[in-house]
Amino acid sequence: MKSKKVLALGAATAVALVGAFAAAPAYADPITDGYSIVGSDTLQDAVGALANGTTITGSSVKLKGAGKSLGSWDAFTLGVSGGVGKIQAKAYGPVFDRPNGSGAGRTSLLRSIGYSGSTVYNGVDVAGQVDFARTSSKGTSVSGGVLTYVPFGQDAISFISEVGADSDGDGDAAAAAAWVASLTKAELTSIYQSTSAAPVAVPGTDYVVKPLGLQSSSGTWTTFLTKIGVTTIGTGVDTRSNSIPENDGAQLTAGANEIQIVPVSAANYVGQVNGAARINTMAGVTLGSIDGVAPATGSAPNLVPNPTFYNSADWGRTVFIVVPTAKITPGASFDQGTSDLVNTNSTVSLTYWGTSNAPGTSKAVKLKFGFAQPVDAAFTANN
Amino acid sequence: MQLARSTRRPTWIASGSVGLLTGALVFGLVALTGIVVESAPANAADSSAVTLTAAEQDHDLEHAPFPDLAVTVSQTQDLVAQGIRVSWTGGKKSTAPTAGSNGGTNFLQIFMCWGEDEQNPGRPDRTTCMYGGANSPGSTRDAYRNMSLDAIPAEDQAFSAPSAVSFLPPYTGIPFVARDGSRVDGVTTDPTTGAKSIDGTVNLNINPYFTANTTNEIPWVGSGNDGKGSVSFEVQTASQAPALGCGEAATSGGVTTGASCWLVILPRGVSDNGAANITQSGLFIESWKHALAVELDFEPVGSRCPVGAAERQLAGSELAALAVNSWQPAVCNQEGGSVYSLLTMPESDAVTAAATTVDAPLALTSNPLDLEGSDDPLKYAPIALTGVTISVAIDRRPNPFLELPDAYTDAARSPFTTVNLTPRLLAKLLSYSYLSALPNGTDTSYLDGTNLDTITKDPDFLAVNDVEWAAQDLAGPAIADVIVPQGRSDAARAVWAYIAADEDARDFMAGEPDPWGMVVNPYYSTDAAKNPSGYAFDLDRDDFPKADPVEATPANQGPINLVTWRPYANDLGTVAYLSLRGDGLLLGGWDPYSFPAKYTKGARMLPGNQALLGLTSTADAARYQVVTASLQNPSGKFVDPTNRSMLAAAEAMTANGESTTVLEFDPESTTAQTAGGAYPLTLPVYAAANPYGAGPELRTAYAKFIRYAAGTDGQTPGVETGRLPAGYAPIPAAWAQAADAAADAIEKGPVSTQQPSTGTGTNTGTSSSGSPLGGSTASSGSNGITPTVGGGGAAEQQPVASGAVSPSLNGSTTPVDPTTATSYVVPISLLAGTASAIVTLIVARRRPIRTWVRR
Repeated sequence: MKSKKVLALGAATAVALVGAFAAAPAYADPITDGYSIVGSDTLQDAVGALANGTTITGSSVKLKGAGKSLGSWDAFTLGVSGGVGKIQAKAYGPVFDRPNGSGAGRTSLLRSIGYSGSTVYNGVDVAGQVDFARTSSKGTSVSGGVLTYVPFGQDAISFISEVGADSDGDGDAAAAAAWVASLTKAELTSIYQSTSAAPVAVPGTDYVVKPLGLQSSSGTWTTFLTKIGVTTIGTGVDTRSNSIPENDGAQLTAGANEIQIVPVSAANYVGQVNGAARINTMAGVTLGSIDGVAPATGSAPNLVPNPTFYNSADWGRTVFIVVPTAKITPGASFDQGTSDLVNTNSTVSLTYWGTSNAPGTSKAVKLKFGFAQPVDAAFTANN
Repeated sequence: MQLARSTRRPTWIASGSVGLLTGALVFGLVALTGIVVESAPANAADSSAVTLTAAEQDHDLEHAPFPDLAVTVSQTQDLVAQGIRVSWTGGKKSTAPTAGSNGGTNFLQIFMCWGEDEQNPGRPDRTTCMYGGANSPGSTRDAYRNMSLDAIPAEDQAFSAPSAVSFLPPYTGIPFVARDGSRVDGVTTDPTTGAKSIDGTVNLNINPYFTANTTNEIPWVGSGNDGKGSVSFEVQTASQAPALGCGEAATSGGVTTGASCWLVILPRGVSDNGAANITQSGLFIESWKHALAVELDFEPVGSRCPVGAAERQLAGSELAALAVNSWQPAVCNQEGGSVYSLLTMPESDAVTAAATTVDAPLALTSNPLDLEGSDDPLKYAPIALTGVTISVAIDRRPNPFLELPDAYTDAARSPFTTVNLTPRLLAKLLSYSYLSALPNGTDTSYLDGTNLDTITKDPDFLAVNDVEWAAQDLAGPAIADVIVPQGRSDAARAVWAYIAADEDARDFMAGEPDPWGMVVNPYYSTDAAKNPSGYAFDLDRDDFPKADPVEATPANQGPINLVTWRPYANDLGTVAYLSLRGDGLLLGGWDPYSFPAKYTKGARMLPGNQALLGLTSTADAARYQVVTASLQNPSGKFVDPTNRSMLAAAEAMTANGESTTVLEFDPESTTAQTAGGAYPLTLPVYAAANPYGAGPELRTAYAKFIRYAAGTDGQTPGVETGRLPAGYAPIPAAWAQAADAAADAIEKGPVSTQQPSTGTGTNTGTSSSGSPLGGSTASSGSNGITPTVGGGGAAEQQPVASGAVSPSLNGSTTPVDPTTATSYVVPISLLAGTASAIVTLIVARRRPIRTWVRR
């Protein structure tokens, strides 16, 4: 997780301060009398900006559901052991464990609606506390599922690299940087299967490749391993005791004559270097091309996703907003505000990808954050 | 390949009383006259291979994902529950699926259906296909569409309905209809308005008929860079998939046939059914119309053992299990037949029980009883010739950092089909001497040689294998060791004996570095001075210990020991199945959020990306159609396990220890060292019983089983019930005689068994009066014609432990001796004429594989 996050000040902040005194949650998060959304860190910057209000597109965009605010909780916080801690989602509501990823976010949503008869999430009754979940992984599609997955945008997985100092001064750093900027899938597989005794050497240079591994519950990490076909990583992969957070360029600390690489969400990278995200950890690191296709084209602050890369079955993935099906289906449980926030026909919903490119649309904001038009359709699931 | 109808095996004759009665009458006739009619060996597996092409079957070839696709199915007739090989050319380089995201690109899906499409005769009906059980993107029965309702193709409209939420997409779900007519639908139609809606209470993919745990569908199998590929497909009968009912027996005019089914090979490209990636159902019309299909003919299935038949237990060798499975339904249908159930257990325990307890199960064993200081009361009947093998599932992965010939890079992801192993390489694998066999994070400095990560990087391995191996960059724990079954077995004993008999392997195990400097994991050293445990590792053993007490504890994770890292498989059969699936039993990631926190199981390796070795039996390897390694035999040749090589080993077998009747392939014997074509891990399996330790009824039942197993029927190779499955070589004639003799001795019991010292054969007189079944057994004595020489006498003339070539075992036969299980071969061979007439009719009725729509 990125460090030193500054809470964007939005309408929810005043309530947040009240909440901070009332129940002492871990950090100055929003507390909302409106809607709450938790889950994946891959989407959190973009959803947070849309919820709290942003002018990144030159126009003010702030989403509401039937006039009520949306409060977005990050997946991790600083200063709390493990970066998890607890949150209080709604005014006077219970304090519960912060859902720290896609799966945890969906679980808390299922508990919030009492699916399978339980409203207890990690020992706390969370009935009605969570309205939406952000997710970068998909549940198992089933017709009539209690959760509806509405596409938020298209993301892709790639890698970032940093080239260490050319300590012996033989001038091969540029060659090493050029080499690592574009790797093949087979080369990535070899790199992540390499051993500490026999690291992959950069051809024509005295550089070696030091692959880093993300913390084991990271969706980006498990997806990356699936995509390169590695089940058991080589002993040469450094996971730093299973502690490396996602999408944090500052984790790359290449030594002399060493190249470090780590998988990354391409959208998150684009969002950071474009200045859309609250901080940019990507200074000095390079987003890699895979099999000759660059994940993004242009240059910051106008870097844009490359559809060829984002839409490929190999590296692309659709990310979703998850919502209880009953709340958007005409009937007794229907909720207009919930429906508005995921209505794909509304330019100011979380899930708009219609024809308008106006700066006031949520689509324009999501493009700035590095997301592209989603390729997957909406579906329902029970997990 | 064309269908070779002429060699089609005769249709199975019903097992009811009519069939049995006919058999008994014919037996009487033939046994009296002594005629033996040879029946042609059934070998349907070779004769019904079929090649399907997109050009012939796809009426929309220009939109086909792979217009040049040509798929060969290894067997399409006389199918039972078994593996068949599906191989193809003309595909495109595949991309693996992303779990939970998309189904991959340029791959095939393979599955079975039971019904024909009435609109398109010669094609299967997609509502009858067992598809969707995998329940992963791209391989479900249903999906929300990436299009509006009116854009859905007409063929799919009947199964489509709008979403209840206005801004969400419509849904299509292909129903499943079982053979009995019951069905499951995903869309309901209002009977009054005709309006369709999604039935949210129905899950088409987890339905009453099949689930992910039972389906045999292959949701993804990829092609190499050259567009070629192959995969083993598990054929299921009505026993495994009742909803399909393949092989369901139907009797008409006294002839029982099995219901046919369809095999479908469905090509999937890069995108279809309106989705940018493969995320929609392959049953939707845009992909379904490109399906290739062939009709599959089945042997009739069903429990063919008579209800209420006595149950007899067999205990011991797993090596014989598949043969017993095949023989069992045939044996139990003999007059007065029993149901024989095999309990696999350590052979040494089984023979001990057989020798020392009353009414013990019939022991199946490869090694004789070894009780210190007491005589062996058991009679051993050889019933199977089989072997232990190393299964290999290793796909090519050319090293991306090397300049390689195009032939190598084009072959990427295709499996290696030949691997040579020496005893020393096997010793390295079984002693966890490769670094990747030990948990990540272990301090491996105690392996102080030049030990490498995996066998495929070992120069010792590269020296005896094709040069292409040196161009690969393969990794992973599953090619640093070999997956072994838990527990004790004669199979394990044979493997260690093979290693112990080789000087290089012995030296390596003792702690001597190999020529390249690799050393044994010291915990497996046979030199007590080098073994940290202080004790020498004993090679005279029948198990595969995980002797290295290594334990690694990665920071913030749980400890990993050798069993956590490289678990045991349940048995030899499981290992072959794991090889088929590419499941290397790898350790998955640490899940700190599960309670309690734990390691997950590693995902299986998909075809094209597999790298694993397993220790299994030749029969299981054949059943699951997995690649097997060629082993270096004592004469220095690399030999793979075939009938020919196992028979060559049988010829070179010598007496096993003190036993006078049990043989073994002893690599240190002179005969073994000169047998160039012999497969070194060939093992005989004996049925052993104590004539003194069981009642007459039981002894008769055991004898009956032995006579069938070692007889002509039981030893004729074939896929049908009652025949000898692949992976077993037919036993030599001398063995069959020995088996017959042992069966006689067992049946006669203590009364008629003489002291073996006579050595001249024993006049057995009439058979034991305890047998209620005399007329149907093969004992000529019971026919009251001529007192016969044989019985225990034949067994006694088997070779003694001389180390010399085993002498021929024909001393005790006389002209009136029954040839092996004559009684069983005769009825079938006589009936063959009738049966082939029926077959001719059936063949004439069969429809050729037609294109979907004739043009």
